[in-house]
Amino acid sequence: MASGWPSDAQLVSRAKTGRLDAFEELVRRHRTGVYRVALRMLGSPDDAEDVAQDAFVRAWQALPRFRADSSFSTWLHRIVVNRCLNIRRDSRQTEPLPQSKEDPSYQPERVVEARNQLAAAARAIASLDPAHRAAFVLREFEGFSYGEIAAILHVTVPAVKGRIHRTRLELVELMREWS
Amino acid sequence: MVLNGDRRVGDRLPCGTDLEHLLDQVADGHSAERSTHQVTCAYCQSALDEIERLWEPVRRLAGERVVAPPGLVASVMQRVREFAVSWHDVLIRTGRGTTRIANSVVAKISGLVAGQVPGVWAVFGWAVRMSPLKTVESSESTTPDVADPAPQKVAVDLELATTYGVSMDEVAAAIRRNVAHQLHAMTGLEVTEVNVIVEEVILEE
Repeated sequence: MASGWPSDAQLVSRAKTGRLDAFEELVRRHRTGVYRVALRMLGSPDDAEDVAQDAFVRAWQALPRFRADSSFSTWLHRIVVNRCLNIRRDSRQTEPLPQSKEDPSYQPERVVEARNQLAAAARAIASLDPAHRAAFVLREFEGFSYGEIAAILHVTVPAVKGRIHRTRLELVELMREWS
Repeated sequence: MVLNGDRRVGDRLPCGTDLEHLLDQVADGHSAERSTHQVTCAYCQSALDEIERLWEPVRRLAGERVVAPPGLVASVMQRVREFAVSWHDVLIRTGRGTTRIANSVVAKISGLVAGQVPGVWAVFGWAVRMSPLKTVESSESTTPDVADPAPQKVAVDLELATTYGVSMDEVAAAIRRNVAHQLHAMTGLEVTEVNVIVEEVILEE
């Protein structure tokens, strides 16, 4: 192709006219990021795959509503995060982690034995306040700027910083309890 | 333990340093860039080391390579292609022949009409159910003949997202009115039901 690598915006314009190949290229480009956000938000590969699939199908369905005043990536991530917050968790959900020592199911030895550190961190993140962890996941795992996260979540930059900060506090506390 | 369970927001080390500040320093990846105070303060050093230890799995997790499931693109594209495609057509019989309207056309009209109702953010899916048709299979034609002259009736299910703040009741009522009216105007079909399923609510700019 003479024009080289088409931009997301160019692909979006083509996809809006019904070009499935253009949309497929967008899916290829963004699949890893979308899946990773869903995986870190939900902690379950099965749920993450469902959400990633739904998010792309919804993006296709809502494409006529997409305006070029935000980037496709911002818009797509908004759909993914919304889907993660709205998903009805089914029986495949991983066992919830004990929230505190007062919780009767709190059994540190079992928890320690049952996982490695990475899995514990992943599950700890998935157990945090969903609205707050979205900002955290977008920052720590996807490297979005505070401004981009604010655009994705429709909140102010100070609110994003506050959410990330609170999530870090909760997370480090959980990591300490389980270490 | 530096970060004990009784810690409160704003807790400080004996040297006056805010623990939350140290946490942000570690989480932002700046724990090695220590201030003049931190270089000499044993409290700060031990707290930074402890937070660093606790935060290490999170950092490793962030660095972990994640690969999307191999079938993801194919599954998405299959669903995109199947969107609103149905095998069952709408047959409108007249004395001088029949009009065949693809079910997907009825669905598409419903989706487009619903999508234009203020307060609807996007229409995700639709299903069209026709009243039962008696058909006679013809050995010479793949097209079934219609034996039932009763007017075709249709029920439409719409899955959609509304924008945050709107009255879903009013939006649903407007969808029912508009879809029934427009479908009838364009196809002649009698719309018996329009079921609205609000699946998501979206904050609009």
